[in-house]
Amino acid sequence: MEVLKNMEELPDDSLVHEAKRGSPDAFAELVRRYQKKVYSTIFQFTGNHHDTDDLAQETFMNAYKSLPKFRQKANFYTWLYRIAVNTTMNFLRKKHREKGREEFAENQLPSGEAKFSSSSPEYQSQKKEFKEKLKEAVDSLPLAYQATFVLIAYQDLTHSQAAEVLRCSEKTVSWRMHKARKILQNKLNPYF
Amino acid sequence: MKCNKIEKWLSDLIDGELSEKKKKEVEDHLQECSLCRAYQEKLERIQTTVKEVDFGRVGPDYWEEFPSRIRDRITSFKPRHRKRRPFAWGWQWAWVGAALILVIFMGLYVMHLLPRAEQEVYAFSLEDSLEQVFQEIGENEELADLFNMVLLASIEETLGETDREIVPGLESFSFPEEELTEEELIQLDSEIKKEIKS
Repeated sequence: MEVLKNMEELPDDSLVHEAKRGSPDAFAELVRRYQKKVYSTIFQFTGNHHDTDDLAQETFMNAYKSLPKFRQKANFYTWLYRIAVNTTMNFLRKKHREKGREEFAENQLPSGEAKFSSSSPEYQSQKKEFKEKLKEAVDSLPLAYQATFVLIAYQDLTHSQAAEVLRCSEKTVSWRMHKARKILQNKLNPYF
Repeated sequence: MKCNKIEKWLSDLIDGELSEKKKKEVEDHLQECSLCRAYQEKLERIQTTVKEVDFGRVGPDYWEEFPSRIRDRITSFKPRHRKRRPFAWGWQWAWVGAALILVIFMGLYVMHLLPRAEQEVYAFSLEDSLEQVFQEIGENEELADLFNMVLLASIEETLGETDREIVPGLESFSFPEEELTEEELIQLDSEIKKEIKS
């Protein structure tokens, strides 16, 4: 118990150092710190608990196995994010999910754009529908845009951090966010 | 000012990545352009809704148990003994390989310069020495492998990027720019150029 308490006080760098030396407690503390961020990032891609749980475990196991190669040039969490995104992207590619994505068919979109008061059941229902359609629209983005959008819009990473995770320039991140938003705006237009 | 430029800047503004100077330009433009104001409202609604999306309903028990599950897995995880890299032994003999290669190249160079008639007069025959080298290599598999290793190592050293963090899965994954259409790539290029100029 005392050991765990001490672990909680250590900064990431020290925990990484301890974990590299073979301390499972140190690595477990790193897991505790970042599990929610990793989980929520992956969940944005998979949309279900089962796959997210598997991929979150795989992410941490991949990180553990690769610790000896981690030279700590980047922050641990940036490195971990990168592993989570790569692991998830590989999974999605294997499933050929992007090929099977359903596009928003024009004929499925509602024609009316009735506005309701914020307290009415209609408004709540419309809000819920908008949320669902947004999720579908994010899910249908090209993977590169989706990954960028998830990291910035959902996970609040800065452009610079996202660029480091995705290994691209900040200009590319900025461009992808712009394009992603344009696509989302177009797809959700009937629901605004 | 073109609205598509403002749309791009609005995206940066939402992310908190727009400079003060550009913010002012955006504000001025929005006062005049109802289309961009409508676009901004839509982006803000998307952003607000994103924040409301739940990340799956996972109870506190899950978070409490998850680190223990990983801990159990890593304590039972036994790293596979890495097979000794082929040629790993060779680094000790790298200088031998390097010397041999040097001898061969020097030999070939000198042989090229020497007239054939004189070549026969020389007591030291490069052809013979080269033949000896190859014979020696031929008798020793380790030396033969060493030649490959030295050449491969020099190629890797030339091509490899050694200062990158190694990320599992990266070798099989990269964001495909091929997902962008040619038109998008051209547009991206021009946007970047504009951004650099501004």
